[in-house]
This record gives sequence, C-alpha cells and structure tokens, in this order.
Amino acid sequence: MLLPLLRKTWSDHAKGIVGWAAGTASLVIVMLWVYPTIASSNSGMDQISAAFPPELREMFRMNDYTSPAGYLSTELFSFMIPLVFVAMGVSWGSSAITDEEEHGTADLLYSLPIARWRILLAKWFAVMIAILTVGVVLWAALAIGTPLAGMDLGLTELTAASVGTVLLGGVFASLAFLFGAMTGRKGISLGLSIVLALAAFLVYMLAPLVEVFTRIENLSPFQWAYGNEPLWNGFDVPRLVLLAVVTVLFLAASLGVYTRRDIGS
Amino acid sequence: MNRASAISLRDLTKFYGRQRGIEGLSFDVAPGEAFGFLGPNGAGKTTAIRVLLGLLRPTSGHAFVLGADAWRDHDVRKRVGYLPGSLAVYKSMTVHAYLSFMMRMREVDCSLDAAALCERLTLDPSRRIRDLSKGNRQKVGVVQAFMHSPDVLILDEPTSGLDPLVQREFEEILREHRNRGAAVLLSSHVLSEVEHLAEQVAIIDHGRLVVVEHIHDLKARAVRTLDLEFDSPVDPGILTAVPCVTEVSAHGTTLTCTMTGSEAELLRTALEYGLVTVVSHEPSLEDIFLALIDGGADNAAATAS
Repeated sequence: MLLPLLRKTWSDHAKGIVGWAAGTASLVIVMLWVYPTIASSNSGMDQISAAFPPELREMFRMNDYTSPAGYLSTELFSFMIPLVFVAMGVSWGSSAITDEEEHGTADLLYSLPIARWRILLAKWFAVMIAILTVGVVLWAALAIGTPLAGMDLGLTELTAASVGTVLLGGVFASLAFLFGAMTGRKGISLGLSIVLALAAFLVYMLAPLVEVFTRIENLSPFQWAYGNEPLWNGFDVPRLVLLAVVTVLFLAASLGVYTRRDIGS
Repeated sequence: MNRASAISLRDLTKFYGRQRGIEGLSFDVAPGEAFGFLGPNGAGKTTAIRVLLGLLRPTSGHAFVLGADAWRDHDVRKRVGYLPGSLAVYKSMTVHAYLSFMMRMREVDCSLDAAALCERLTLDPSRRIRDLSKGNRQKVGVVQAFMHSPDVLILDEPTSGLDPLVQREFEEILREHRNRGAAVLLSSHVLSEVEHLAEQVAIIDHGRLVVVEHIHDLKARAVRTLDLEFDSPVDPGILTAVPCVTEVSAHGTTLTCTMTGSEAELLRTALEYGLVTVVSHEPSLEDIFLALIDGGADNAAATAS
C-alpha cells in the first residue's frame, strides 16, 4: 500500500479530521448533557412528545422519546449524526481525486512509476480511514458518555449504530469518489452526491408518511444503516454488509473509470 | 518501432475536446540525444508529452518510451524524469519534504543528488513551496525531474521563469545528463531556448508535424536579416547580385539584407567594399515557419513521413 501517499493525504486532512471529530463529540456530549433533565419524570417531555402529531413522531423516530434509546435515536441518529457523516464523507470523497486534477498536481503524481489503480486505492483508503477515525470518536463519546448521563444502553447497540453511521458516511464518500473519478471536477462530484444523499435521506425520513417512499425505502442507504433501529435491536448484519458491498462497488467502478480516462490538466 | 530509440512516436494521434490535439506525429529520440520539440503555444506539444507520460490515452498510433508502450506500462517511468509545462507541486510542503515524498513514491533514495541539484540551482530546501517565487518553484520541478538520473528526460518548457544565470546552470546540468546517455525531449515555443542544447528539432503546428531536421539546416533555410556596416556609404546594388540575398536596403553606411542559406558569399563580397561590423538578427521561430511554409512544404512532408 502506498504509505507515503496515505500519510500525505492524512496530513492534508488532519485539520479536517480533528474538526469533524470535535464537532461530532460535542454534539454527543451536549445531547447527553441535557438528557437527565429531559428524562426526569417532572419535565413533562413525555406528554409533549405524545402531543406531537403521530406523523411527526414517526418522521423523527420519536417512539418512546424519554427512554435512552428513544432519545438518542431521535436527537442524534434521526438527523444530526447521519448528516454529519454524510457531509464529511461527500466532502472528502469528492475532493480526493479532483483536487489534484484541478490544482494541476495530478500531472506529476500520475506520471510516477505507479499504476493508477494503486494511487486511487491509496486515496480511497485514506478517506475511509479518516471517516472511520471520526466514527471511533463517535463510538467512544457514546460508550463513555451514556453511562455518565445515566443511560442504560448496551454497548452492542451503540456499536451497531456507530458502525451503521460509519458505513453510511463511507457509502456516500465512495459515491462522491466515483463521481470525481468520472468527471475530475469537484463541483460536479460534490453537487451530484449531495443531491443523491438528500434524496436518499428524504425517502428514509418520509417513508412512514408517504406511500411512494415506503415502497422504495429499501433503496435508501439511510434505511440500510438505521432501518432496524440499531439502538434497540443491535446489528442488522445483512444490511450493513450491503452498505459495505455497495461502498466497494463504487470503488471498483472508480478504478475502472479512472484507469481508462485522460488525466485533466 | 525503432528498438534503439529512447522515445518513439508512431503516427500518434490524440483528439480531445473539440479541436485541440495532435495528428499523425512520428519521430524518434535516441539515447544521448537532445531533441528540440518546437511549436507555437497550443500547437500540441504538451498533448504529445502528456501522452508520453501515460497521462493521456492515444486516440490512435503509439508512443513508446524505452521500448515500452507509454499508456500501458507504468513501470518504465522509473527511468523517466518529467517536468510539466504548467508545473504544480504541493504548496503546503517544504522543498525538502516534497522531494523526499517524490523519492519515496519512486522507491529510490537519491537525496544526495537532489541536494547537489538544489545547491547548483541555488534553491533552499527548507523553504515552504507556497512561499517560493515562480522561478524557484520551477527549480523544484527541475530537481525532481533530474534527481534520480533518469534515462529519459521529458521537459515541457523547462526554462520558463528561470533567470538567465540559473538558466545557464540548468543547461549545464542538462548537458551532463545527455552526455551520460540520457535522451532529452525539450519542448519550447522559442527557438533560442533549444538551439544551444538540441541537435535535432521537430516543429509542430496545429497538431501536425511540419518538419524534423537538424537545427543548423533549419536555421540555414530560414529567412533572416543582417545589418552590414561599412566605413563609407555604399551602393545597395553591390549585394543584390549575391545569391541567397532577397532584399537589400540602405541606411547611411549600413546595408540591411534579407537572406536565406549561407552567408559566406555575402560576407566575401561585402569585405571588398570595406565591411566594418555585422549584426545578425537570429531568425525567430515564426520566421522559420514562414520559410518552411513558403518553400519547404514538399521537403517537410518528405522528412515527416
């Protein structure tokens, strides 16, 4: 594996990784911080959430809101955390190939005596490992934070939700990587990936309400990551494997496209 | 394909976009030869070069480097040094870090040679590339192209941005590498940049080869002007009879001649009339183009095929 290139890519991403990790950790910490107040019986949150229209409750996965799993699933995993990971993945995935082409550094990189697929593979791994790093921070914040906030949640369930989140970020990063490999243009790759991610998110979010979306919700990677409600039910191995397989398929397509096309200058 | 060639283009054609590209380019560069690759900006020099580096896939024809197909064989680039025309290097790195990175990517350690090159070009390796002037960045490109002593050097407008002193040192370095047997492909849009270095030149225009020729022959064919200063005013008529001279005009004691071919006859005649000094205006690439298009088209076609 092209270690020098991996190291270089990480050091380029170092600030970004620290930033996204800090953001993720603070999000978790703030949400866990306020949990004891919300969970206390006199907060009335249960009544408030019960007063929500059922459609809204379904949209934000608000079943059993004051329970630890219900609270985390609504506050973190229905919206904030998945979008953080998707945004991060799309931003890294779309720039991995295109930055070098747009800045002109690709000329010297790909004129080195190294097969293009190896360079690409190293870039892809660098992105995936960066996402995984932030994923580990998310997992650690949850694993350490939930007992401190007095939440009784199994480590398996927390791990399942974290793994799903990492794979979700990974699949969209890999998709953006593919668009980058196809076009060499960051703007296009970023734009297309964001549109597709938002579409997938809307399908997942509105599936309980819109019949058309219910029928196609199994096409949404968000559904693959969170469809089985991992905070209650733990790992949904087949669907997590599906996420991983699609991620790798996008990589394979990227390699196929990029080893055939001209490097932009 | 010629087995002995370090670089060999065979009917190389590359179209991309709407019009830019090259069509039917063929020429060879032997080991130990410095080969000039000339043409106006946008003629297709960079396209041909980027095909040679495996960055572009030929539409048809072939580009061989040291006998290997440039598109398929990445391994051969271990023995190639490349200086891109629009050089871009990682700006956040220091020169030293960048050169070390390139060495690790190439899996060679040539830090001594790199350090020596930096010193000769007066490039401070501890500087951050972001803070370097254009000329100094170009030096980084030169160092990374030469540091591993490649058998083939492909240099796209290498001296752009270098000041004259550095340019001379660069030419010296290039000669040393040529003398140890490296093949050099040197592109430029100005003739003067390659004439001290290259023996043979290829000229391309609008993606097609105009001529491949020895540089002396090429210059001899070009229309150029000479200012001849005499000790007293002379009649322009004395020179119009000389072969090769196409036009003569007088300004005081100076006669300005437009001519092609050998200057010997002209000077011999002029000396009889009291010639004091000669100023020769070197033909520009444009003049040579004009000369080629005017009279050399048949000849050029014969050379190119």
